[in-house]
Amino acid sequence: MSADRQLLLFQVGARVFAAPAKDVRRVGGSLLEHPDDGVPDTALGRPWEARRGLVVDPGDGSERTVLVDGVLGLRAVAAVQALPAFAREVMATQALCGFALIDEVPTLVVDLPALVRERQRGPSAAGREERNDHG
Amino acid sequence: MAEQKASRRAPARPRRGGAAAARPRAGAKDDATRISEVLRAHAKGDYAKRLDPTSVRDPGLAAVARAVNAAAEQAKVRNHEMAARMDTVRVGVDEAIDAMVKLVVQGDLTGTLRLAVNDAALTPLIAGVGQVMETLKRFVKEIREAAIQLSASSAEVLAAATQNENSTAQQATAVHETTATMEELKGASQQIAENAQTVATIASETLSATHQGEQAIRAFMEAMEKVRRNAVEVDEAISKLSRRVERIGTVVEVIDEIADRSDLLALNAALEGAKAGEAGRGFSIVAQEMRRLAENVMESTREIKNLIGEIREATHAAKEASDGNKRMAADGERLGGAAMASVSGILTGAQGTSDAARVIHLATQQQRSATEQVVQSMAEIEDVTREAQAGSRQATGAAAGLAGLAERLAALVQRFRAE
Amino acid sequence: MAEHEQGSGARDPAPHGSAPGDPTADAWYFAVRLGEGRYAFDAPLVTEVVRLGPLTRLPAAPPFLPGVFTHRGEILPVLDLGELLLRRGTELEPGARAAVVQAGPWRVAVVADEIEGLLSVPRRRLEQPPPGHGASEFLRAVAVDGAEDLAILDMVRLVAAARARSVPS
Repeated sequence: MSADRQLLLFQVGARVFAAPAKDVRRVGGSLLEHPDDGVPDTALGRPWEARRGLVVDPGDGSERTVLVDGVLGLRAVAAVQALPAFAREVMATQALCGFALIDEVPTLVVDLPALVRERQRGPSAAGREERNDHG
Repeated sequence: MAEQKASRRAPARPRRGGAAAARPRAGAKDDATRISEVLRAHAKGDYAKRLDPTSVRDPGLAAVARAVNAAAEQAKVRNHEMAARMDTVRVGVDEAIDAMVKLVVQGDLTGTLRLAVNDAALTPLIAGVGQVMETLKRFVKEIREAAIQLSASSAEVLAAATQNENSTAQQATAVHETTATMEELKGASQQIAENAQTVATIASETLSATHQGEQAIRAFMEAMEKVRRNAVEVDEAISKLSRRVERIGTVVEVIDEIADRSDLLALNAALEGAKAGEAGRGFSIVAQEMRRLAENVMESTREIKNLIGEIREATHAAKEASDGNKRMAADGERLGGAAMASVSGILTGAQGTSDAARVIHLATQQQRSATEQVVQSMAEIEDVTREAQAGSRQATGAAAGLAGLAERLAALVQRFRAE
Repeated sequence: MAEHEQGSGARDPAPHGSAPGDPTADAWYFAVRLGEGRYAFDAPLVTEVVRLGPLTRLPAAPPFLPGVFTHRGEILPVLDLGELLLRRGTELEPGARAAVVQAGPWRVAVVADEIEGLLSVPRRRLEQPPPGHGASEFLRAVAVDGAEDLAILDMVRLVAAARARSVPS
């Protein structure tokens, strides 16, 4: 069992996403606990209730809490498949790792720190920048 | 008429005779016999026979003969006179008859009978004829008056008879109409009787139905009363239940929070275990178990919370229903009261109707028999009227005939001029 | 479900006017139906025709990308031709057909109102597209096949434009 393949499943609105467990510092309670560093709105959408928060380090050592509707659990997957090239090209966000087949359903694996950074910088900027990176 | 002395046995041959005494054959005939023959001739009416007294021997018989001659002479004269008188009377009688004929044929009663001849013997005749004329005059007057009266009366009778005929005709019509009306009335009263019967039936049915209705309303009102009492009890029970449910809710909230926090702890523990990789596996497992426990608790509390929600809803509904019931019971009691009042009204009315209907029924039955009687009577009247009509027609005819006769009589009498 | 495997180097369809190939030969196209119109693109682009599996919707995706699905272990993005050309989203029923297309470097599963399949059109029937035709930027030719017009699309250009998000609105 490799730590890289441990995914934390969470829910934003009606959709289930996954994130590498290593990216999540901890799971927090409701927004009331993190009023200042909450990230309520990301490319994944806006949660309905924001009962949980995923505490991540955006890359600068700080802590930001991505607000989600719920945390479903941890899963270990065999592999994370890359996004189909076309999809990656046209998505508005580049904070995506790929897909993992969870219960035979392709589940999007999200790069949480990148997601937070995108929000900090602005989404369109993130898109252009990342595309240029891919070349 | 002087007769020639006829020989007694000799065939009569006209002899020119005269008063010259015929000389009997110095005969043997006896004078008495000769006188007797003359007397016999005188008795027979032959006063012309004379005897020549000179021819008589006997002086006494000669005197007799002279007496006989004188007697015969007197008789002859008397006969003459008689004959003359007879002629006069005959003439008078003829005149009288003529006058009578005139009277009868020409109807002239104005004059008295005056005869051209006068004779004492006619006096009774004249008196008699006069009487007859007077009587006739009187009769004519009377008859004329009577004829006039008769004319007038018969006109009156005709008028009356005509009027009578008209009025009987009218009466017949009126009677007929009345009969028709009565028939209709009979029919109508039959209808009324039937209707009254129906009404009576309906009224009696209404009565019994209303009695039933009355009982039903009473039962309803009792039920409403029960509902109201029940509603009050229900209210109290609901209040108790609500309070208990709220207490449970509070407890559940606390449990829920605890479970949630436990879940969070377990989650983080599992996360750490995952990040530690192989080393953290045991940890991860324990954490997983904790999470499962927390999830179970949360599942239960979720169920309880759902249940509480449902109870709250049910309680609310029950409360509303109970309030509704109370209101309904109150309304129901009010309505029931009103219904009772109406029912009483209906009962009274129905009773009244029933009585009235029965009365109407009886009355119409009576009326019906009365009407039938009337119709019967009217039929009889109609018959009588028809007879009367016929009779009055007859009377009119008779009166007309009478009037005609009166006219004829008057016309007849008109001919006799009495004044 | 028709399977039509071509070699990796699909031959370039002959452009209208120049004829390295035989002018009398037929051209092969893959036809789809969008609304009232028929469209087609070069048949060699199509690798296979598949049935759609359950779609995973993607957040922050453009409207012509309704989602991705897995086919035999491969994750395929779905390209809604109706949304791209007519700005009208195709109603996707589960198990609907899709044509897997290799358009240049991009591999997509194309969906339309109806996936018809291969058809051949004599080259002489190909004409210039009339001006004012919708999506004329990506139209290579029109053909009259039977009773209907057929709009021949330049699929490679279309997909590249989509990717660059430069499909005119």
